[in-house]
Amino acid sequence: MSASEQAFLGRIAEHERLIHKVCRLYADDPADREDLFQEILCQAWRSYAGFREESRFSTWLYRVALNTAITHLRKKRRFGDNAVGQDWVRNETQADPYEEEVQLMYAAINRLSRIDKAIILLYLEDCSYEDMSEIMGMSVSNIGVRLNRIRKRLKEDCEHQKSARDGS
Amino acid sequence: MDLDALKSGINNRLEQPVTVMSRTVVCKVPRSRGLLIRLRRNLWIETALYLLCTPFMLFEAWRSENFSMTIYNATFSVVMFLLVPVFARLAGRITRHIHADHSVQEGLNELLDILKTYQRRYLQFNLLMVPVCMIYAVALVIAFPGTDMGNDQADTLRLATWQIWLIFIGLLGILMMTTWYLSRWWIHWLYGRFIRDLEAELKSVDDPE
Repeated sequence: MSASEQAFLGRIAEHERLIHKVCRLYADDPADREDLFQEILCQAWRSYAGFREESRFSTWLYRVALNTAITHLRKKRRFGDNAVGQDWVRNETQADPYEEEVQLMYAAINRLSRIDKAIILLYLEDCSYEDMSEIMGMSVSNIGVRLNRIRKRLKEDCEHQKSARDGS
Repeated sequence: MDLDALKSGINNRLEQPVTVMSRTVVCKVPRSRGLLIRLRRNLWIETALYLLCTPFMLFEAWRSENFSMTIYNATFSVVMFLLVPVFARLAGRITRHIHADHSVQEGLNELLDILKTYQRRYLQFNLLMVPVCMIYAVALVIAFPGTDMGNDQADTLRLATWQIWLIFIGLLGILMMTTWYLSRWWIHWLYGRFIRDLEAELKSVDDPE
């Protein structure tokens, strides 16, 4: 293994958590997640030569990971595409109200569009609006407007799901 | 409950590691499902096939005793020579895009442009091939009767009325329309939904209200 490859893998290991988050959010099943993980790693390696240290490594890696995830083609499913986020819902107990809320919110996030998912992901990472703007290529005000709208939509979606579940 | 209140719970879930079989395979992903990687691979395969066929067609054009075959093969060789740079340029553009450090919005804009160019080129190429193939398949042997088939067709040509030419033009029209519809259906089946989704998302990026 070359020195640059070793250095790259070292930096990736430091920020691996970030790639896991993107994979969790953009891929539905374990095989898809694994593929996406490899794809992001591969894409990052291809682009690494062009990384000029002008921005933070995490910012650069977010760009690469989100661009790759957004253009990643999912595996064709035989029984539709509705398995989003259900693996966790299935495995968790329903006893803890906080856990229930988290599950509902996670499912609602999974129903967002690709770009909205990316913004929420950065928001969950506590990125500043400036960082989000740099990664997404949108203006700071645009990010602010979208974020408020997404949060409102998530809240409504959760309430709707909760009332539907309580009603049934 | 608000998103902020659930932040840590969602972060914990999102940070669960993805099971990865091999972390050291950096340079190669077998059967990549990255859209651009696939697109570029398709372009290189098409380019390689053209480059492989062209020497044979050139050889046939040079050696053939039938003048119509010389023109037929030479024309296809020229068409392929014209197409190879177009495909290579598009593949190069995809490679540059793959290696570039784009923001998400820039990346999507470029990707959309590449996909639309690919769609356009694919349709143009298929439509161009229909009249080229039909005219050469039918007209060359008539124009240069050197074979039995050519002589038969030359006789047919002598007997041809305006109705025959009308049928020929009608057939050409039907073939071109069929090709257009089938090619469009195929390319839309491959990338149509993805492009529509991207366009909708980019529109919402430009206009957050």
